[in-house]
Amino acid sequence: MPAPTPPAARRGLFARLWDRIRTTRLWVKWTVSAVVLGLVAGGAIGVLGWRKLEQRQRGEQTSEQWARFEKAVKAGDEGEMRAALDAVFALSADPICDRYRETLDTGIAPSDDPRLCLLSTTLHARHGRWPDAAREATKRLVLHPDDWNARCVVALAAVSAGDLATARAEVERLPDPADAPVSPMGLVLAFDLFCATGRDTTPIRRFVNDVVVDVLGSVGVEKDPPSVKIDLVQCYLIGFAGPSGEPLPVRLGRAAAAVGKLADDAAASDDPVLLTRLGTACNRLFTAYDRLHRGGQITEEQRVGFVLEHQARTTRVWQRVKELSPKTSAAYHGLALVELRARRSDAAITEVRAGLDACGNAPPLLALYSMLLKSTNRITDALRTLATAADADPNNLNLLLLLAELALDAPRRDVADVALRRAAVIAPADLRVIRIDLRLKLESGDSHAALQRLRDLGDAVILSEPLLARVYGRTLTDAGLGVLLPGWLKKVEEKAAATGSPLVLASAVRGLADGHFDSETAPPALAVIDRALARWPIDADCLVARAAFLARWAENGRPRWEPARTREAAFALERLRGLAPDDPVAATALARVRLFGLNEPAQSLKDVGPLLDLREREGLLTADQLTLLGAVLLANEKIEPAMAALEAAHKLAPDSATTCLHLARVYHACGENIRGRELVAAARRLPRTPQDDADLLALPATLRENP
Amino acid sequence: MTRFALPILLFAAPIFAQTKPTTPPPEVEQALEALKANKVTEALDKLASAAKTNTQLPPPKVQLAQWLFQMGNGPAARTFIEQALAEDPKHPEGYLLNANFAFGEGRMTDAFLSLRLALDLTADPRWDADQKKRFAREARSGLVEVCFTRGDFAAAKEYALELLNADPKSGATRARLATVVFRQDKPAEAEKEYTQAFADDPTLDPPELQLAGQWQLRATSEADPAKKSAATDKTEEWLKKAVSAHPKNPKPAREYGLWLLSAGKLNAAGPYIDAAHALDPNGKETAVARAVWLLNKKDATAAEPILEGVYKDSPADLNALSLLCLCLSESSDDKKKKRAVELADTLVRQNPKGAAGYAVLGWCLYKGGRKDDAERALATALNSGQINSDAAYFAARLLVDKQKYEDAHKLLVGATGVKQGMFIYRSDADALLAEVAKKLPEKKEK
Repeated sequence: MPAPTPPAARRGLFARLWDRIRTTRLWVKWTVSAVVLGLVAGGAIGVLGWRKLEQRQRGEQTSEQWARFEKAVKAGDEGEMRAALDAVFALSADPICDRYRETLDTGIAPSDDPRLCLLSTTLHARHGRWPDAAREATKRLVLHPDDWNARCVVALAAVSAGDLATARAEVERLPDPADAPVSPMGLVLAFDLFCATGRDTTPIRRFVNDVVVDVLGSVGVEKDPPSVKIDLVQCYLIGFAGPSGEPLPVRLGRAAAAVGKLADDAAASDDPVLLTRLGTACNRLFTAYDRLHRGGQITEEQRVGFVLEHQARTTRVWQRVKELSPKTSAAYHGLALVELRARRSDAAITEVRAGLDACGNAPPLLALYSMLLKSTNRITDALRTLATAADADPNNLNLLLLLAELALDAPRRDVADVALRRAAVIAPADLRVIRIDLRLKLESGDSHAALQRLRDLGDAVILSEPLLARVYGRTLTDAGLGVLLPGWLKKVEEKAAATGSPLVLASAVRGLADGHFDSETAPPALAVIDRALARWPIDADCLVARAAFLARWAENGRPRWEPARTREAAFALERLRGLAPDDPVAATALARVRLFGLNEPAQSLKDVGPLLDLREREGLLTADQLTLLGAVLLANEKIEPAMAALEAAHKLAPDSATTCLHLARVYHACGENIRGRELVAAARRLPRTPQDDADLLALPATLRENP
Repeated sequence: MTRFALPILLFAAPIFAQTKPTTPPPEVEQALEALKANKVTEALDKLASAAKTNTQLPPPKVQLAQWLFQMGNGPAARTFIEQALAEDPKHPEGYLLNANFAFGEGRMTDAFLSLRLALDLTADPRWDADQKKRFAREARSGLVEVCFTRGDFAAAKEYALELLNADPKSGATRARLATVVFRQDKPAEAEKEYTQAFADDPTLDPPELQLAGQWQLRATSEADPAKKSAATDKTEEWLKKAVSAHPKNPKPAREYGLWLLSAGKLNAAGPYIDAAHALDPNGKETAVARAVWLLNKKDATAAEPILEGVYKDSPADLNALSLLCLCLSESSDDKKKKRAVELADTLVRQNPKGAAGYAVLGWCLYKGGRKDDAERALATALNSGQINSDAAYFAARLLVDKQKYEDAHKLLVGATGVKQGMFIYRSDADALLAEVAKKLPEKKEK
C-alpha cells in the first residue's frame, strides 16, 4: 500500500492574513489601506503634537522661572534665586543653571558672561562686600564699559578702602545719567559717590528732578519690587540735596503724595533689611516736607497732613522691623527719632531704653540716648546710664568711649579720665582712644600734654591720620610753638605730594583754624591750602579747610572782620554750602560770618536753614549752634524763637559768655532789663572771645549798668 | 635753673658788684694796666691822682683790692682792704667790698655786719645825694642777699622793700623780692611780684619761668617724696605756661626742652628744642641745649660741629667743653678720641677741684682704650663724693669690664633711680643695669 500523503502544514497567521488580503476585493483593499494609513499618520501626528505642546509648555514654564529668577535677583532674594534655578533645571536641564549656581555659591562669575558678572556684583554689593563687588564689577566693565552700576560699585569699593583718587577717577568716567541706562539704585549709589568724592551733584539731581520724579506716580512703578520702590524714594530725597538757597523744583512738591504711596507699598515687604532702608529714608522724608513748605510748594495744612500720615507710616515700618527682627537697633533708633520729631522727648527716651534692653548697648542707641538726655538737661542721668552700662560690660570699648565723650561734654573730666584710662588698657593704639585723650588734654588747657602725646606717636603716624594732623597743628599754636608751623606745613605738603591725596594737609590746615589764632602764620597756611587746591580743585576737604581758616582769620585777624578778608571767607563758605547744603557746621560758619562780619542779618537767616531743619526735626543742636541761631533770629527781630533758642543754649552751657550776652539782648528787647543786666554781669565774669568783647561794648546803655 | 650734664661751679664772682662811674678817667685805666704789670705802687699813685679830681671814685686801696680780688689774688686783696678801712674807717666803700669778700667766702655774719655798717655810714654828711643813694642801694642789695642766704627771709624782704621804696621801677629788685616771698611760701604773692617785675623790666626772665625755677629749686631740696613730686609738677606747670605765654622768647622753650630731657622724655623735648633753635639760631645757650638733645639722641655726629663752634667762641665755657669731650669720645675716629682726651685734660686743669672734669676725663680715656688711666681718673671723681648720674655710669661701665658686678649694680641703681636730672647716658645705663642684673647671683630689685 502507498504511504498516506501527510496533511499540508498549516500556514502562519501573517501568511493567512496576506492570503486573505490578496484575495480580497480591490476596493476593500484600498479602503483598508487608507484606514490603516490614516491611523498611522494620525498617531504620529498626535505624538509629535503632544511633544510640541509639552515643549511649549516647558518653554513657558522655564521662562516663568527665569522671570522668577530675575525678580529674585532684583529683590536680592538668594533663596528664591536658587529655587528658580532648580525649577529651570528641572524643566530644561539647562547647563547655564550650574553656572548660575556656581556663581551664587562662590561669588565669582566667569569673565566671559556679563550677566553672571552682574549677578555676582549685585550679590556682593547688597552685603557690603565691596572688594568682591569691585572685582566682579570690573569683569563686567570689560565687556560693558558703560555699565553705570558696575562703575559705581568699583568707585564705592575704592571709597570704602580710602582710595579717593581711584574713586574720583571712576566717577569721572560715569556718563551723564541722561545718556546712560541707569537704575534708581544706580542713581543713589552715584549720588553717594559724588558726595564722597567732592564732585558737584548737579547732574544727578537734575536727572532725578527732570526724569525720575515724574516716574514716581506712574503705573509701571506699581509692579516694581519693594527694593526698587525704596530706591525710588531715596532718589526723590536726592532732589532736595541742592543748596538751601536754590528754589526746589516744582515737580518735587507734586510728587510728594506719590512718594508716600511708594513708601506704603514698599512697607509691605517682609525683608527686615529692606524695611530698615525704607525706615531710614522715611525719617529723612520729614525734612523734605519741611523744605517743601518753606519753599511754598505745599501749604502748612498740607505739610501737617503729610507729616501726620508719614509719622504713622514711619512708625509702622519700624514696628514691622521690630517684629521681624527684634534685635535691630536701627528700629528703636528710627522710632525714637519719630517721637523726637513729634516733640515727645520722653517717648523717644523710652524707645531708646527699650532698644538698649533688647539689643544690648549698641553705640548708636547709646549715642542717641546721651544726646536726648543732654538736650533735656539730664546729662547726669545720661552719664549714670552709660557708666552703669560700662560697669556691666567693662570690656566694651565703644561704651567706654561714649562715656568719656559725654563726660567731656558735661563737663566731668574726672569721669572722662577714668573711662579713658580703662579704654586705653583695652586698646591703647585705637585712634578713638587717642582722639579722646587729646581732647581731654586740650579741654583741660594742657596743649603741651596733648603735644607730647602726639610726639610719642611719631611723625609717620601723625602724618598718616587726618585727625591727628589736625590736632597737631592746633597744639603747636596753643602751646606757643607757632615758630614750628612752617616746618610742619612743609611736611604735610610733602606727604600730600607723596600720597597724591590732600586729606592730611587739609586736616592740618583745619587744625590751625581750631586753636589759638596767629596772624603771622595765616599767609603761609593759606598759601599751602591754595597750592593744594590748585592741584585738587574740587577736593571737599581742602575747600572746608580753606573756608574754616578764612573764617577764623576774618574774625581773629587784625583788624577783625576786615572787609576784603571777610568777603573772601563768605565766598569760600558759600562754595562749601553748595557742596553740602544740609551741613549744619557749614551753615553755622556762614551765618556767623554774614551776621557779625558782613552785617547781613537777612541773608544769615537764610543760611541757618539747616539749623532750623535740625531743630525742627530732632531739636538736637549744640549750645553754640543754638546761640548762633538765637543771635540770627534776634537780628531779624524774631524775638520769641530767639528767646527759645537762647534759653535752650543757656541751659546747656550756663558758663558761655556769648550766650549770656545774646540772651541779655533778647530780654532787653522784651523789656526785661533786670534779667538782662544780671546776664551781662555774669558774662563779664566769664572768659570771653574778642567777638564777645565787641558785643559787650555794643550793648545798650541800660544793659551795661550794674544790676 | 638749667641742669646740664656736668654742672661746673664757676669761681664765685662778686654777688653785689659795685657800680662804677660810667666813663672811668684815663688814670684809672692806667692804674689797672700798671697793676697788671705788677706795678702796685704806680697803680696806687694813678688811682690817688684820679681820686683827687673825681670824688665819686672809691678810695684807691679799695679799688686796688677789688681788682686784685677779681684777678684771683685774695690775700693781697684782703691786705689792701684792711689798709683802706684803717685809713678811712667811715668810708662805706671799704665795708661794701669787705662784705663782698666775706659773702664769697661764706662768712655771712661778717658780710652782714659790714653791710650794716656801710648802710649806717651813708648818713654821713660828707657824701652827696648821689653817693648816699648808691651806698644805700649797694648796702641794701647786699643785705638782701646775705639775709636770703642765711634764711632770714623776713629781713630780706624788709631790705628789698626799702630798695623798692627808693626805686619802685627796679625790675631786678622786685624780682628778688618775689624770690624772697616765694621762699616764705607765698607763691601767689610771688607770682604778682614777678609779673610786675617783668612789666617794669622786660629784659628779665618771664615771670612764669622765674616761678618754674623756684619750684624746681624747691623740688630739688624737698626730702618728702610727695612734696617733691608736687613741686616737680608745679615746675612743669609753670614751664608750660612760660612757653605758651611767650612764644617769641627762646628761653622758655629751651628750658622746658632741657627739663623734659632731664626727665628722660626725649621725644617730648624735641619740639621745644627745635622751637628755641628757630627763635634763636645763633645763641650759645640754645646751641648747647640743642647739642645736649642730640647727644641724648645718640647723634654725636650732629652735636659735634655745634659744640666745636661754641668752644671756639667761648673757650672758658667748661660745660660746653665737657660736652665736646663726650661728643668726640663717641666718634669712631681715633684722632677725635685722642683730641677728646686732650681736651678733657684741659678741662681738669682749668678746674682741678671739680669731680665732673675727672669723670669726663675718665670716660674719654676709657673710650680711647686707656682703661688703667681711666680707672684712676674715675676713682678721683668717685672719691670726691660728688658724682652725677653720667659719672656713675662711666664708673659702672669700667667695673662691669672688670666683672665687679655688685659694685657696678650699686652705682647703676643709684644713677637710674634719679628721675629728674640731666643724664645723657640714661638709656645706656638702663641697658647696662639689665645686663648686670642678670649676672648677679640673686635678683636685686631697683
